[in-house]
Amino acid sequence: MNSGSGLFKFLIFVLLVIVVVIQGLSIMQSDRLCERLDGLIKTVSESQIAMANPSRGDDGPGDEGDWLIWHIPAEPASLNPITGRDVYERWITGYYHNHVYETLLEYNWDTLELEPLLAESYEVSEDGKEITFVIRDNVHFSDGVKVTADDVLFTYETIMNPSIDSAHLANYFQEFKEVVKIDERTIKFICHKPYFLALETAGIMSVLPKHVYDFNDPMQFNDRYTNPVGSGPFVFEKWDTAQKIVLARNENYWGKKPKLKKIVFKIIKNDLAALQAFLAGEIDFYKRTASEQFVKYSKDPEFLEKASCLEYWDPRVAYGYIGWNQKKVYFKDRRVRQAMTMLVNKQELIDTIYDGKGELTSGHCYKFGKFSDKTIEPWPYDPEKGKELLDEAGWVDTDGDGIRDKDGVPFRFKLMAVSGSPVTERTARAIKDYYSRAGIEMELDFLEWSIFEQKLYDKKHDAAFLAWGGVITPDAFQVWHSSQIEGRGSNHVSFANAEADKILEDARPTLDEKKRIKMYHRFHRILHEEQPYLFFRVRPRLSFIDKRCENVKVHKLGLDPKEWYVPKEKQKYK
Amino acid sequence: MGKQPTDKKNWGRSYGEMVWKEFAKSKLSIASLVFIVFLFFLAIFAPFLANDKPFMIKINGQWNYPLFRSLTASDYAVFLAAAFAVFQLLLIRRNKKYIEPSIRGQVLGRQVFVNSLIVVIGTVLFFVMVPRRLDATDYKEMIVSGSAEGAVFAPIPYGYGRTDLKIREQPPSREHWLGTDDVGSDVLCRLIHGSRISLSVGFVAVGLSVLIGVFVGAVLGYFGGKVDFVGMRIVEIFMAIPPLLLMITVVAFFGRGLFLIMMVIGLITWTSNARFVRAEFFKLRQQDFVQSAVSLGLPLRSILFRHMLPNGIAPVLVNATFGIAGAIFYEAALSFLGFGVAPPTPSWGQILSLGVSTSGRFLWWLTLFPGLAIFLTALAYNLVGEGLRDAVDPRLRKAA
Repeated sequence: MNSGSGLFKFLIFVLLVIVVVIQGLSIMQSDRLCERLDGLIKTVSESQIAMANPSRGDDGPGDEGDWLIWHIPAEPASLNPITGRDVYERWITGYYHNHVYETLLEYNWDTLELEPLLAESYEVSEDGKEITFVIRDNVHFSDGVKVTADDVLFTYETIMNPSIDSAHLANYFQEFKEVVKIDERTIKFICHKPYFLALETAGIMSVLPKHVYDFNDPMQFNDRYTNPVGSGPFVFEKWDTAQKIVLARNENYWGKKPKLKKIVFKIIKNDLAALQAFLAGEIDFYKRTASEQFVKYSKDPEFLEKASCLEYWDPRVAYGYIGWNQKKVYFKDRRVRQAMTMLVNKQELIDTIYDGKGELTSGHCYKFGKFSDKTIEPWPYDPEKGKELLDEAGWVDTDGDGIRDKDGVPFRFKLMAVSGSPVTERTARAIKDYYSRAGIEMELDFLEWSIFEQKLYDKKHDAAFLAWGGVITPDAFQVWHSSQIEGRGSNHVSFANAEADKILEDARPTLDEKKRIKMYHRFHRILHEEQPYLFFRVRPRLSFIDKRCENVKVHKLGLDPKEWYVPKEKQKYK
Repeated sequence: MGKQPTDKKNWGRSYGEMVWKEFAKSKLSIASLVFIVFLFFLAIFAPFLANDKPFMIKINGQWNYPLFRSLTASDYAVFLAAAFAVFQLLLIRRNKKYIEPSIRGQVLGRQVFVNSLIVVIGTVLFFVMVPRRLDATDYKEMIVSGSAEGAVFAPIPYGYGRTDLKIREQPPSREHWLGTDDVGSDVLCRLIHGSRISLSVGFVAVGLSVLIGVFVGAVLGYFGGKVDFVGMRIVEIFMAIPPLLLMITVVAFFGRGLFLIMMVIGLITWTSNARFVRAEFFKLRQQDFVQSAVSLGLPLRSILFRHMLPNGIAPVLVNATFGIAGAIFYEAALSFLGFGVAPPTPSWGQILSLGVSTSGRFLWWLTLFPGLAIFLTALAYNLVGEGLRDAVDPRLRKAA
């Protein structure tokens, strides 16, 4: 075979490849065209329906239609309410807003009392051990199947299934001895012993449709992170990775339908980019603005014409802290931990780096809630006292190198923080400088969240800069009880205090709230004295909302976009 | 190796001398070289130029020397390396006068080896012997309150790790010539200390990339044939990796660190060096001196690195100069994106990233000065590289 024919064959081959590629491209192109046509047809027909069928009068004020574009700063790992553990899952589909999944009970947005949602009524037995829910007769999932006691039972059993990745939830559900289905609409939760959080745990559980989620292989369930199906006022439409998650209104919703046709959760990680998108009108609801942005724009009259700036508190605000790992020699002594708190001028940090947005906090409970003891003042900034305490605890600079030491160990430790946030970096740098003034060398270690989390639960770190989200009714057992040190427990600072353990154990079966408040006040005092954390600050929610949206109300529990609407003349999306 | 100054004139000019003469013809190249030397000066003497501790201070009637006490092991190592680098340059001048051209290369190699060994041993010793100190005493406060006197401060009396939240994000002023950053550190001080990071990243990363590139290129170019075919495909695979993405991935997995960044840059950018060396070796392979070396039965190591390499290294050195500029860019880009060295260690890219705050305010002094520093350094390296390229290219030399 001569080289000429070889070349010829090669050319033919190349030609064929090109033809195939072009063919493929043209198929894709026509697909896209069809999709676009489909979309066009859909919007046309929908708008016709909307015209023929003007808003129903009984659903409260406001016009129907339009979308809400809601900014979220990170992509949720999962939209499965049982395996998902991030706050975005709760915003988008979970129990914070009950958009897609619904719970048996829900918090009243203003009184924070539990009220029936999927349940028609509930009953707690006198000893507090048995809770009976009766499910509404007329509720059904978005696919039309009725919600029954079987679905509730299925959800409970899935959470308790050891092969399901739900340890964080199971921790609370362990208080139940069993769950019994009485009839199609009635289900009974039975506890081992009274537990004050039992009603909330059972009531605020996203009910999964059994016929959709049923599985043979638990891995199949664990891997199901998208396509959520529930009974809520919205149905899942699509999830574009790293871009957006779209919910559309559930047209068959059993209850009061929201006015908004769609909610689009737009994922923008960078704060500045999110701000730009808001200014350009690409986002309507920027829920968590940076303090600096809020301070600047809430004074800008031009901006205020277009958007409302809301500053409000709700019990779920997180508190920032630095956790001192007590397994490490540095932080074994209570005096050292107190000193670490006194050496940092937290108020100065808030006033400068956080632009004055935030308040000092002294404990683990919502600062303005009833479980927090308001007579406890946060430790003051007192470097002299802090140095004295360090001296007392035996951390003195004996070898003249400027670093305190004890038994030959220099006071040099690593603070790990999650990378990516300039504000965190700023704070860490400033805190490092405060400590260096007292002869303590703190090194900074910025890690990706996944690695950070791994290290945190291995409990080999020295100190960690982190925040805990707030809850409405606190049960501090998970974070502070000494039994939660072992394994992957959440007591990652290895805090162990006999009295605190006793209080946490006793508080669980105490149904009388007044008594429990007293116990928690005592617990707060212990935390304050022991300073297992440097309790840093809490920040109010700072949100920007496009003025298009009306009926925006600040509740005690925050904002509820389900009640918002956009007047017809201002509607933007179809 | 005897001293024979009388015969000097007959020695003629060495390749190095010729290249230098060509290089020195261009004023721009010389100016760039001077700028780079100046940068090195800044980097080496950074602790003496910008420091919050005074050189000397009288406390309770006694003289103290806090700045000298606070020098770290790496400071000493830098001084040692700088001293030996200067010493080596002087040796090269001396070699030119006293050592025969035929053995000059060997002598130079030996000198470099001995000197580097001393520097390495010295560095290890410093790290073992010099204790880490922490001195956060506010000496300026002592002067103000009158408890100390007679202090001699560095020209820029601020420390790069010190913060002062009351004066954060201040534009340039008499106190802070280039303004302050997001936690109130002095920008000029951070720029000076940051030059250490940039320059060392440039050198170490490119050093590694030259090392790998020369080795791979030499083997491929010498053997040719199937080895070359397979080898070049591997080189192409490496070239296809987008460097910045790989760097970000690696940093995300293994954590932020200067050493890691240097290694990764070095491990990605060696391909161009390998290609240059391979091309040179292809040419050299056919030449008589190589053929005779082969027929004499010299060991491969000797043929490759003693006989061929010195004749084929020039393009790599030129490329390395450009590579340094590239490495500095990569480091700055990584730091800008928040994947660089962890604060408070200063880095130009990191300062640059503070130029736009989260609320969209433009802090020009945090953008302009580090931006200029990066730009000028990269420009200078590129101009030097350009000058070198013209100088080593014989065709250009004849044309001129």
